[in-house]
Amino acid sequence: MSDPDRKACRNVEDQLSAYLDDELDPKGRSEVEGHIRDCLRCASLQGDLRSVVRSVAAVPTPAPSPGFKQRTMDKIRMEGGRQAPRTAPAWLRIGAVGLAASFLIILTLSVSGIIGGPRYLPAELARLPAKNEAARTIMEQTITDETAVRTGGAVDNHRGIVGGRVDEVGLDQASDESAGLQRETDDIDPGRVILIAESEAPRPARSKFKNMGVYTSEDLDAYSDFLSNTPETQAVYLSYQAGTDARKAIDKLVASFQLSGEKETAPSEEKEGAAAPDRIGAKFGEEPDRPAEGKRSYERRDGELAFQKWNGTAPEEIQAQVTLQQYADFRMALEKLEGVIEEDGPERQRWLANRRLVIGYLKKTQDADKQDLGDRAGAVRGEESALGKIARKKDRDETEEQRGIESDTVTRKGTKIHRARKTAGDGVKARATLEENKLDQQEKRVILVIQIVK
Amino acid sequence: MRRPASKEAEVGGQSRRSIEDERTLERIRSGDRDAFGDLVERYQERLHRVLVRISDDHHDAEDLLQEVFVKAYRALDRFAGESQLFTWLYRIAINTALSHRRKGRGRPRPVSLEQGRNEGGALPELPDTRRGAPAELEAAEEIDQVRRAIASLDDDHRTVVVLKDIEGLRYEEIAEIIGCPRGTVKSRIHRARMAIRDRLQK
Repeated sequence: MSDPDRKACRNVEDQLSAYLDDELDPKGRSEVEGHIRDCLRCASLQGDLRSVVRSVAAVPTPAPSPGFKQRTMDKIRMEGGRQAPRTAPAWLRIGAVGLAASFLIILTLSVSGIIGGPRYLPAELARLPAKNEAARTIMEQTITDETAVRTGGAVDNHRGIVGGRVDEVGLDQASDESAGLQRETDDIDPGRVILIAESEAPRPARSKFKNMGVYTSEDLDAYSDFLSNTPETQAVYLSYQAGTDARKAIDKLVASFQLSGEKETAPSEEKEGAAAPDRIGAKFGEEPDRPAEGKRSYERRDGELAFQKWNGTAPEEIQAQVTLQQYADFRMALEKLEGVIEEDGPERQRWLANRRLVIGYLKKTQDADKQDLGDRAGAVRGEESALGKIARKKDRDETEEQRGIESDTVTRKGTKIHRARKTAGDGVKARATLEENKLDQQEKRVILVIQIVK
Repeated sequence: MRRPASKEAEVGGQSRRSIEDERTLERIRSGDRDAFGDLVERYQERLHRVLVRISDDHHDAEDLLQEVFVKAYRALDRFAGESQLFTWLYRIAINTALSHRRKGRGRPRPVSLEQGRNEGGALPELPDTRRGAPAELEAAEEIDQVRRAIASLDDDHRTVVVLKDIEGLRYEEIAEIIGCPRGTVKSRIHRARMAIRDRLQK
């Protein structure tokens, strides 16, 4: 066989599988067909390959056992076949659920009469000034629209309420004033100084969860103390500010004082020179008067600032509950100012009991939140650790796989060398066979010629 | 040489299957997670064949198959639809089978007396001398030899020969599955067949 023939054989041999698989273009197919018509060796190889393909296709493989689909779907449903949930982060979900739950509790308590009683909240809404539609809507949504709570609408509403109040004072002003106040009140009310100092101190154990807020039990105590030492007129002020319209509150208060004549101060403040009608107006427009020293005296702004500071950073659900209490305070104060509620009467007792309940509840909620979020943090850390393990395992597997591929490559190189040697050997053998065949054929022809001659 | 009639039909129905896959995917994406069961039903036999032949492990193939579907389910949201679904499923199956084979290499297997005869080098089927059917015996012996020949190929060549000669896929489909140029698929298939031929002729 000549060299060009051998080259043609090699070319065709490489195409034989593709020819069998009908994967050659027409030109390639006709080249192969033309070659194997004349080349015994390539024709024979084509027969071998056809036989290989047939044999491989004939190897039986069992099907999966009956019920495989069901078992697989069960497995997917039961053990971690779930896709990664695309929901809000854990802290947000907990916040929303906690918020919804706290409103449900408040609502239940209020309907059952434990907090406020049925007439408190609806009556509260009814008492809001007609023009204060925004505040009314917010309160109605907060109390009645659980969906709004769940979707975060109420959260934003409460941010609105709280934000409005803080903005009125101004955060910078608030901190300046509180610093100044601390100096000024040093010699007036040591207890108050301590309170301010504590709320100014770095807050320990801040949670990394946003909705955990940055409030401490000192803040709650500050708020509680503040409320206890605050005359009802002050509660009215705060409550109306929470309703975003302090001026309306002032006007109404002034009007109610003017209407009620000599009944000018809240009962608990009578002996300590608290708000007269003109002084109430002054409180909102000018520097407040410094009260005289004494157990029941209070400084409006220090308590207010401590409260704002605390409430501005408290979780939304706590803020909402504080707002509810503020409205109860406001209602109570207003009714008191209008002479509806007697000092130490049942209504006042109920109001005090409500306040204790709410403050107690706030503390409990705070503790439960801390616990709950702590647990969640633990769970998240656990999940992170598990994910880390999986990731590390995956890395290991991939490295292993890579090693496997590398070792396979080495093996393949070895196989290639071996195959090349073998092919070379086969080529020599094949050539020898072909030469032999040629000799045979020549011999046969000679014999034929001899026979013919004979 | 042509593929068996049933596989020919499957290949012929390729585009129809793609359309069906698309519909199923849409159902799954619109929230009908049970529609995944249709995919399981549609591909379980094909993927099982691939797993058995590539891992050369008849015993664990069904577990591997389940693993493939669970992996696919979990990753379904990440399936971008750039390739066809069935090529993606084959890819997962091949990776699972190869990974299993690498892990299990050299590890002794328990021998089952009930299962896996003529599979995975467990117990070869003993000839039934009562029936005295030499042709059948010869065929069984030949099948076992072919199975061993396939199993003796390296991963790359075993994979393409299974996808071509058992699954009846086109070169382009195989190229997409294994992520190689079509020319590489072509030469690997040829070399794999040559290697099997050499082994069978020994």
